[in-house]
Amino acid sequence: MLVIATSIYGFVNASNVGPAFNSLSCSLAVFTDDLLNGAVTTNQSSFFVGLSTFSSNLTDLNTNLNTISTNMNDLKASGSGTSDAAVTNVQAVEGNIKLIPDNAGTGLMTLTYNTPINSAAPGGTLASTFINKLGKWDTSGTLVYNLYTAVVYARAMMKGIKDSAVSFDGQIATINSQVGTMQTTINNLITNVKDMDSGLSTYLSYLNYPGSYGNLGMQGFYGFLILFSFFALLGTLLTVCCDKAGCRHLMYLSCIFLFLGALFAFIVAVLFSIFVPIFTWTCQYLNTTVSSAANFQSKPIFIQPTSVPF
Amino acid sequence: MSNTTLDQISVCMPYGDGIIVNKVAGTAAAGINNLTSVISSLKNFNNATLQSYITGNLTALYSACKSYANGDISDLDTTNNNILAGLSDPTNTTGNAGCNAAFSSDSWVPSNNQDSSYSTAISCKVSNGNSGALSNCDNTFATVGGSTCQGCMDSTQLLTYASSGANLVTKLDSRYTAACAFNPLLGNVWDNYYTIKYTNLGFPTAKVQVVGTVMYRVQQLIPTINDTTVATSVFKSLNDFRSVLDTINTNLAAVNSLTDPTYGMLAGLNCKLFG
Repeated sequence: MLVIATSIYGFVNASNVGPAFNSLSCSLAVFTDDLLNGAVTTNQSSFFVGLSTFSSNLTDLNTNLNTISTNMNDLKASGSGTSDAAVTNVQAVEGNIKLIPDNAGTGLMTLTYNTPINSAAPGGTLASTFINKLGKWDTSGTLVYNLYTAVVYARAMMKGIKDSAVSFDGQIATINSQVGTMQTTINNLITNVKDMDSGLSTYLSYLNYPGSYGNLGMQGFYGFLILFSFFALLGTLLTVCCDKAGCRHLMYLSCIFLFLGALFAFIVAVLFSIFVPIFTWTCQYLNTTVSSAANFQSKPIFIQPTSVPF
Repeated sequence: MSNTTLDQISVCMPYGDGIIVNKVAGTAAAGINNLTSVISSLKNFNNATLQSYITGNLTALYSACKSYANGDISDLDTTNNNILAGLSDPTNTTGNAGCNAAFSSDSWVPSNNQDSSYSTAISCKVSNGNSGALSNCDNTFATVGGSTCQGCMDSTQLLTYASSGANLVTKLDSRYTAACAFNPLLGNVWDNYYTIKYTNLGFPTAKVQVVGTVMYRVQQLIPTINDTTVATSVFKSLNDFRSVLDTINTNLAAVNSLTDPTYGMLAGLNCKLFG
């Protein structure tokens, strides 16, 4: 009964074995493939064309740099052009915003009353509570500051794009001279990544069998235990309750098979005690490795040359 | 794996910035990154979003200035606000001594549209259904048009008719008799509060603003920001800039595989794939 109960539990959960192996192998293989051939970034906001495409398109890029630059003449222009006028116009409005409180752009609004306000000879003064709410262009959190900052941000966006166009234009000669070197660097990187991919595939090939047949094997084993446990129980019941002495042979036969199954389970448990920690440590190792630059570029002690002191 | 390779693909890790160009392009990295930035802007520069951001802040500025200029929100301390509250009550014995019957029909409140979310809001103390504002009262507080100038009297609007505290008292004397204790009190309020507000912050929006006030500068500023028929306005400038980018994008169609801001190579150089 106990064997039947535990075997049923094992039969039901055996479906997790194969996918676990496949998930680990897939994650490792996908990264190298994405790096070489491109994919959408993890945050889904952009994409990577892949090292292979980047290398092959560099020649096209080099050929068309001047065409691209020519089409950006308006962005590169200073003192003329639509984009330059746009930036200048927005900057002028910024100056007007500064003038809102005091018409000089330097201080807060002047708004001080005489108090008490119903007196013919008031003895005191009272500043309006609106002065500090209105604020000025450089006082954070005030109405004038918020509007000024918003307009400045818009101008900065436009100016930043213009500056990038100008900077790119100044770098065309450098890009032209560096294309060959870039392609060599990228091709070397592609070679190294493919070597890493090849090494990984050898390691991952060991995961194919448990990944593909893990579920079937485990379910078959638990099914075997359930079947012969049932036979043993049936033989016992028929012998004791129905007084069928001959059915004790069914019980004997079932016990032989259950003994062989237990022996097999012992061997499998020994093998899993070797494999499972390795896979667990592999996942943990990967998590730690990719968590920071220092971790990624360090090498674990157990794979350093023995001549390197710890 | 060599340290060079590790360093090159480190930018693609979860902690990296994804900019692989910086690792493989050498001295050309800056130029390619600048080009990538421009190409990215062809798609990402959103003039509508920027205009919406500016509009929110412009609206907040103008709404606040209007509320305070109109008297909808009090900018006084508790003591002086209570003075205005007392003056709004025709049953208040401080002000109603010697006043005629017409006085009991009026309640002089800072504004007939006060913001009730503020505890400083002063309610109208009469309920005859009438109100007085620039639209139905002339400069002697007599009725203009079909709506009787009486009841809830909008002080911020109506006191713009006065040229001085003494001038206001003269007008009130005609309405409530010269013996009315309220008249000189409101005249003092004009001298100590309203005229200072009109001169610096500006008139209520029912009246044309004068040069030199905050309200005037704000009203002059608004079309220079959001009026797209004004050639030099901020919104027009943002639209024009967007048009420049659209033209560039169209002209680069011949090299689309490189420059398309959505699918081109230069838009696809972020290698942050692992995580």
